[in-house]
Amino acid sequence: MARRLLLLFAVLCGVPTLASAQSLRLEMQTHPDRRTPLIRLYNLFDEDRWRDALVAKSYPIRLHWRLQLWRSRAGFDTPGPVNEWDVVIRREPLLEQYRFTETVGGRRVTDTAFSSFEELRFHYERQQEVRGVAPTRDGEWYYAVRLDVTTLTSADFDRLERLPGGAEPASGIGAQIARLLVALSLPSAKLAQESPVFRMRRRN
Amino acid sequence: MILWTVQVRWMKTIAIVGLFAALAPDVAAQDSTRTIDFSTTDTLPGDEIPEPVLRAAIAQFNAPTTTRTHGTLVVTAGNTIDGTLGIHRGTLRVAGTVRGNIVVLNGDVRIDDGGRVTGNILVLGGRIVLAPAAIHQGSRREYAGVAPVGTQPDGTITMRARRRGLSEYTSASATFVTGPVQTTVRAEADTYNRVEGLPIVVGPTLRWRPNEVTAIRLHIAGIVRTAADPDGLRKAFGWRVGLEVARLEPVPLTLNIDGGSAIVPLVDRAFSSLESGLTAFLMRRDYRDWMNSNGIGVTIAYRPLPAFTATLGAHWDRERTVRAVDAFTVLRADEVWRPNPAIDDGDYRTLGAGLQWDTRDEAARPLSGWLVRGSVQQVASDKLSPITLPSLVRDDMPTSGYGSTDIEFDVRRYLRLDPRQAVHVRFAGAGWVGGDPLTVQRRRSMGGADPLSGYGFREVTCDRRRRPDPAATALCDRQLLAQVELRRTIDVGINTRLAGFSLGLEQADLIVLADAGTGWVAGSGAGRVPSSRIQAFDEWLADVGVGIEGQLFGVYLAKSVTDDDALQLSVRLRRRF
Repeated sequence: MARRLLLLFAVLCGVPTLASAQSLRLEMQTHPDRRTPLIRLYNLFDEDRWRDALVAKSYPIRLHWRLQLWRSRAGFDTPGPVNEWDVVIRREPLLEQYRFTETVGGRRVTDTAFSSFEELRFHYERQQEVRGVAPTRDGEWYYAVRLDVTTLTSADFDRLERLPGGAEPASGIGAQIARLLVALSLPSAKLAQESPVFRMRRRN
Repeated sequence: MILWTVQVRWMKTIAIVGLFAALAPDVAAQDSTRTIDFSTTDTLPGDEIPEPVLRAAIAQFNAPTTTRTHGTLVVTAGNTIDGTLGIHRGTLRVAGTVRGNIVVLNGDVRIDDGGRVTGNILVLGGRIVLAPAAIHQGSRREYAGVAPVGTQPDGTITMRARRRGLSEYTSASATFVTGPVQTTVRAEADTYNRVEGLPIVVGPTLRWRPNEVTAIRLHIAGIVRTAADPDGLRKAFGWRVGLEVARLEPVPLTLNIDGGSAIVPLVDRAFSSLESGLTAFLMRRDYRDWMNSNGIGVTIAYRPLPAFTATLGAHWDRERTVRAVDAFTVLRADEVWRPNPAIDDGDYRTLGAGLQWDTRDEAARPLSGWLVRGSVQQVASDKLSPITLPSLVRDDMPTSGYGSTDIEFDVRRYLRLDPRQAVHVRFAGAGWVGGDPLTVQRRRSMGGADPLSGYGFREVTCDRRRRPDPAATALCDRQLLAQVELRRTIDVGINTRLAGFSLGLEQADLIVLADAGTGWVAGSGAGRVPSSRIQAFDEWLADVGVGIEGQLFGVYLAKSVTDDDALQLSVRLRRRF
């Protein structure tokens, strides 16, 4: 009975985020030597709707990462620098491939094509190390990461309307309502995770 | 906002919430890693299309000598096309020969084995794919970002404004560009209320950037009100106009001139606009009060640092009482609306100054930082018709030569204790500081669920009449408020599937909260607090409670500690502060 009540409460809290892919899970650790964050996202391709969005509907999956370093203190913790990056995973049916693009500040840093879904999955489900963000001073530190996962953006709608031989993109209230309905039916999720606190010691 | 507030005696709910904290994620094994390195600057070409490239591509596509196609084109093996080839919104597949340049807007180019292209290829909004045995003798440039272009009746293409974001889909709009001016005609819904029903705002916004450091925006809108006013105290239509000139250099200044005839909320406004509008529309609970304002004003904002903003402004307004009408609601349609209170009608001049220091990491769900803001307003009038209020609340008001000053401040601190816990603290206040007594429209109240979660709506209105105003008018001169929250992020990880959708909650914030607040009438005499003092602490209201917040709304359960009020349950669509 208690379990059912818990489930009911969780379901009610989650209703506005109806499209949230709940099996997604983030894990974060720190590299034992470099003290860089090691991030892993689980189950992105195990949830039917995410896989359907990418494989069956050819919608891109967008992941916005926001990583912040925090200094752990006796009283209140103090925030450090923030690093953000984006990942776009898309299927390109014409090219019969999956493309994995990583951008920082709008600039592409990785752009890799995979010939199969399994190759893409193998690549993305590996642990990711984020370099260049580790603290350089002594102290106790930890990382906090936030992740927004979405599918279509307004630019993607433009791309989808770019159908062979098609007419101009539809406009007007009807088209906007149709777009809104499509947008509401799309999956999205927000996740957050923190690393364990680690200690930095200057090496002399 | 309260979507509903009910008295709850079911204490087991607290125990259920507490159980969530026991759930924790498991740990998985590691294997090979991939990396992203912020210490290097190596990047690949960008997706975004530079404007000169876009203009050059459009010119090439529209050139009279270009063979243009809208849609997919296949050059089959053995066939040859001479001259420039332009493709819009389609795929060009070359198995034969193209002797010339290719420009593709929002499409891809694929050259098959045996296919041959002798000219340059430019692809905007797509990709270039060459088969292993394809032949290409020119240069190749590709940009993945969608090219913002549209078709004209003669088959040429023109640049169009980029589409708006998905968040703007509650409105309908059309955007077009004429020379240097971008015009957006938009129709959108404003806050639903018991005076207008649904105000629909329709009108154009013109944007112009005459140079790199200056931006000009002109907004003109008409307001259509869906609910009729049988008393004729307000018109069926209103309007707004605003001109904003922003300049980055030599000093970052923004000048804003605005005016109009609109229904606006009084200063005592609990809850966000969205929350207030939704409860009014769905449940016939309008938590704001309204007046008709016709006026014009000017504001100058100075922002020398990203976190710091200073503003100066002056406004001239004719403010009039309006009544609640029989606006449609989904539920409780047979109930009578809470009356909209009468205000002190008059012509007012308001001078204001404000400062804001905002170092929060983000506005909607901050983890750290400060928000400090304060403002002072001086209100004057030579033509006002004050309503009669009991002497316990207000002394006699002049009908000309009126002048009063009031202030407002809000200090918030967001602190992180450890990776999973945070403390949020807020201290705020507002009210009269000098001159004649405040008008009704600038008076305050204190109550729940915003800001006091353990109390009902407008618990303190400073109306001490035996038969208080049924409008529950806010009549306090001053208010003070302190809030604190201890937040802990918990892994809930409870999911289920329903009709193909996943439902549930992965993470949530568990909150322990405490609030204290008060409102009072300042001055000398019975029932008032001397102007140089604040309300005695034993007169304050206080509550404690717990809450749980998901991504889009939070549920709070709070109990008053200074009164014997029942437990209060409230649901809000945004964080309390």
